[in-house]
Parts: sequence; structure tokens; C-alpha cells
Amino acid sequence: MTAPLSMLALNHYLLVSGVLFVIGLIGFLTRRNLIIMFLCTELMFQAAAIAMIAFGAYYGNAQGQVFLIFILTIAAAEAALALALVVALYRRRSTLDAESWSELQG
Amino acid sequence: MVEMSIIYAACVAGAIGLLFLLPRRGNRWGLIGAVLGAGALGAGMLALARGSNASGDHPDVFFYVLSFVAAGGAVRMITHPRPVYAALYFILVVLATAGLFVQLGAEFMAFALIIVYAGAILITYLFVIMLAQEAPDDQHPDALLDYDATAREPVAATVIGFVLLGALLGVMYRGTNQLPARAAHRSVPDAELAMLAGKVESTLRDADLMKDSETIASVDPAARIAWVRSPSMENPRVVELPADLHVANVDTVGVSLLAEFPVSLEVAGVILMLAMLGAVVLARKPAFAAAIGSPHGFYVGEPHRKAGAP
Repeated sequence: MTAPLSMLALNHYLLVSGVLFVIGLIGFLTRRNLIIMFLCTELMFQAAAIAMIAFGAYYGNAQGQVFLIFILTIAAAEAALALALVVALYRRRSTLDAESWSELQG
Repeated sequence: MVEMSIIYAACVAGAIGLLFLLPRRGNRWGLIGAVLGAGALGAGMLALARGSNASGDHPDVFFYVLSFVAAGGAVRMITHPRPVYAALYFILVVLATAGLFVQLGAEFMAFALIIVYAGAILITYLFVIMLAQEAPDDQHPDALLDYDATAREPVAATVIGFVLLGALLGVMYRGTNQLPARAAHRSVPDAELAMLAGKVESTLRDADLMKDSETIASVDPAARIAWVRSPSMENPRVVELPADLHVANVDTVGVSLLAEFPVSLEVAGVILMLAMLGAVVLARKPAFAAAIGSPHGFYVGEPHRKAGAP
């Protein structure tokens, strides 16, 4: 393994992670296309991954990377299910607009 | 202390920049927004670099290049009105993130990220985008759809997002000072070699330090020796490990994964299989729905009564 990360560098990586997470969050809130909304959740996964790897490098162990393997697993499962849902919803209304489902009631 | 006032000011500038960039009809403020956003990210990094509480090395120039590419790609991804371009910009973000992982010494995860994200997940997204295309009208097949061209509540979302970012960064930079202390350096370098008999064995065989009939009895990474047992001798003999035998990143990940989290690995496999089943069930077109001519692709009523009706 390379030399452990300094705290200053850790702060830098956390800044990038936070910026990517917030951009993904804003995208999820503002975009109305279902596919882009799910892409934004993937962006938030990326931000979490950067924080995970940076903390792993700071402590000099592999647990951050091992946890990222599980994050990738969950992200792949989420992408498969979300895209299947998008396809099912698109067949039903022939639109990807999230607003067209706003009258859903529980 | 990190100068939090500069970070908070950068958050405000970034929010205004992103607000200018979000899609709307006839957007002419995009360039101003891009300059504001890039300046905000640069100011945030400058405030970090000048903070005196955290000692140690600065990240090198590649970190700055890769993080600006990642942030710029992410902004373009959420502001581009066409979904295909958004997906392509996300691939750019994934590549830049993989570069950051290489900077952090996590080569295996960098390649796994490219293969899983850029190779598999994003291709699936592109397929779905192309399957679910719709043209607004027949005369203008390239015209933007209304829900792609305009953002939903851009001001509220941006303000909430950047307030969250400011709070997150404030808490994080107070918190990194109080992180539990890490070991100054690892007591035994390459300690994982004790569990990697196969790697030691192949290295020793390649260096002609072991005969084909011999096997590894045990490895002592602290003394950098291995005991080798041969069928002809009663006691194992000592072989010194070659100086260039080190534990690679993928070795530490593998040992940690299988030695510390074996049950989690099994659970991850179960989750993947269930997700595959769920995706098939959700996305299929049932045969009986197609047979009765359901326009929705899947069946929306009670199956038995309607299927039997004339």
C-alpha cells in the first residue's frame, strides 16, 4: 500500500465527496425525467465511494475498499430494479415524466 | 482552523452558479454559472489548503484536475437536457473518480468501478434511454420534451442542497480533528503474507528457491522467512523471502474480504440474485396480457375473470 493519507488530503477528498453528493441530490430534486433521477442516485453512490476509499487510505487498511465492493453490489441491484421499474412505468404511460405519476395515492 | 467563512461563501457562489446552469427554456446565463461554480470549488479548495489545523502533504496536481473533471461532469450531467448526454457525462464522472481511487492507492477498486459502472450499469442505462425514447411531435424529432427542458423548483432544491453542503462541510472539518488516532505505522509490513501461502509459493518457485515436490509449511512475515516442507526431510527448512515480494492492493482487499467479512459476501450474492429475479419479474411482458391485448404491456385487472370473458 502507498503511504497513508494526510489529514489535509483527507479534507480535500471529503470536500469533493460532499460536492458530488449535493450535486446528485439537487439533480434528483430538480430533474423530472425518471432515468436522470436514477442517474443522480448513482452519482450520490459515487460520492459515498470517494469518502469510503479516502477514509480507508487515511487509516491504511482495506476495510474501506471492502465496503465499497458491497456498495457496488447494492448499486448494481438498485440499477437493475430501478430500470425495470422505469420500463414498466414507461409501458404504462408512454412518458418518462415523473410528474405524470403525481396523483399516486397510498 | 479551516476558514469556514470562505467555505460558506463558496457554497453561496456555487449555489448561484448551479441555479444559472439548471435547464430552462432559452437559458443564456450558462457561462456565468459555469465560471461561478468553478470559482466556488477552487475557493473551497484554497480555503482548505490554507487551513493550518491539518498538517501533512497537499494532494498533488492530479487530484485537482480529476476533482474538477468529476465536479464539472456531475454538474453537466444534472443540467444537460438530453438523457443520453447526461449518461455520457456520468461516465466521465466515473472515470475521474477511478482516477481519484488510483491516487488513493486503491487500484483494484478503480478498475472494478470502471468495469461495473462504466461497463455494465451505464450501458444498461443507455439501453433503457434508447428504448424509452419519445419524440414531442413528428415535425421536430429533435425538439426537447417539456419535462427535460425545464427544472422542477430549481431555487428551493439548490438552496436546500447547498445549505446541506455547508452544514456537512462544517461538521466534517470539525470532526476530522477528533478522528480516532491511527497507528503511526503498521507494526509488521506485509503482514497479510502469512495468509497468502499460494502467492509466496509461486514467487518462491519462480525464483527457483523451492523444488516442485516441496510445499509451504508456514510464512513468518515479521522475520521475512518461510518454512518449506519436503517429503524427504523430517523437519521443514527455512527459506528467506525475496526482497521484492510485497503485498499488493488486491491482496489486502482479498484477505480482508474473505477473512473479516465472509458472511457479508454471501449476503451480497443473495441480494444480487434477488435483484436479478425482481428485474425479470418487473420488466417482462406476461404472455396472457399480450394475448388479451392489454395496451399497457402488463395486466391491470383480475386475471381469471377477464381472461375467461368472451
